[in-house]
Amino acid sequence: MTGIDDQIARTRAARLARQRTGFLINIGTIVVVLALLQLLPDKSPLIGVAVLGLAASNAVMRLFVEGRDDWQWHRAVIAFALGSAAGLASLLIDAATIELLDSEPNSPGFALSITAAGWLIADLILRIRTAVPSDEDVTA
Amino acid sequence: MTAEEQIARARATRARRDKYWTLADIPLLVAYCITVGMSLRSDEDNPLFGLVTLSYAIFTALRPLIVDGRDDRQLLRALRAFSIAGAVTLLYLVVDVIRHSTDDGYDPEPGTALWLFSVIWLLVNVAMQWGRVWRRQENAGT
Repeated sequence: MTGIDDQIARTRAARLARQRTGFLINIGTIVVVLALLQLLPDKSPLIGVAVLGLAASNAVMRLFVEGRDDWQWHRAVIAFALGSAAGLASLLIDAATIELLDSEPNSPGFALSITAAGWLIADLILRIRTAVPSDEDVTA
Repeated sequence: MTAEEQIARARATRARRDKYWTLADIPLLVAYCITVGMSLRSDEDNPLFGLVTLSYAIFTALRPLIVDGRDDRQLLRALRAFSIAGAVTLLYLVVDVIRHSTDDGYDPEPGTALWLFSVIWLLVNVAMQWGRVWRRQENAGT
């Protein structure tokens, strides 16, 4: 194996290891969110803040684990925009049901929870979709 | 077709799109100004205000994508504008939730977050649009 091949293999291995760490962090984040949802009282508005804090820490962690090149920044922006779109949709549905069906507004923090959950899920999906294939996958 | 002809045709297409979009922009801007005026004059909240603002924000976000093209840079710019509005709204929602938890007398207005999102998105889109026009003029000058 030449020096360049060795370097490429080492870089790929390091990236794969970082991605595995990121995936474990994602799983851990989801477990913490589920635990928090159990601990906090029903419909507590602070649930949204907790989920948002976890989504933000997940996004920051991702940039540290997988590097801060242009593509990673773009992916972070795309994940956040998708989360914001989910929050906006929840706000729109809330406003429409209040106006049209004369229903009660959603509990405070609901839109926040939807945005944060959307952000987390979008980040996870983008991470899985853009994962770099391992050497075994490439040779197969 | 030579490269010059291709460039000239692309420029003409862009100018035509820009003209049609501006023509569509005028009635929407008038409708928006009327709704803002109605909202300011009325004591009660006008539910149309948020909806028209959101429509206008979507319209201004679509403009560069349709007029200038939908390449990666334009899409990313559009996403960035949307994310800025999302970030400001998130901040408002966090403050809203904390105030709701700590202040018993706090009674938030439903729809404020939607209105805030739409206004910020619209402002960022307009600012980006003017920034592009300004940069284009600067480049043409040099």
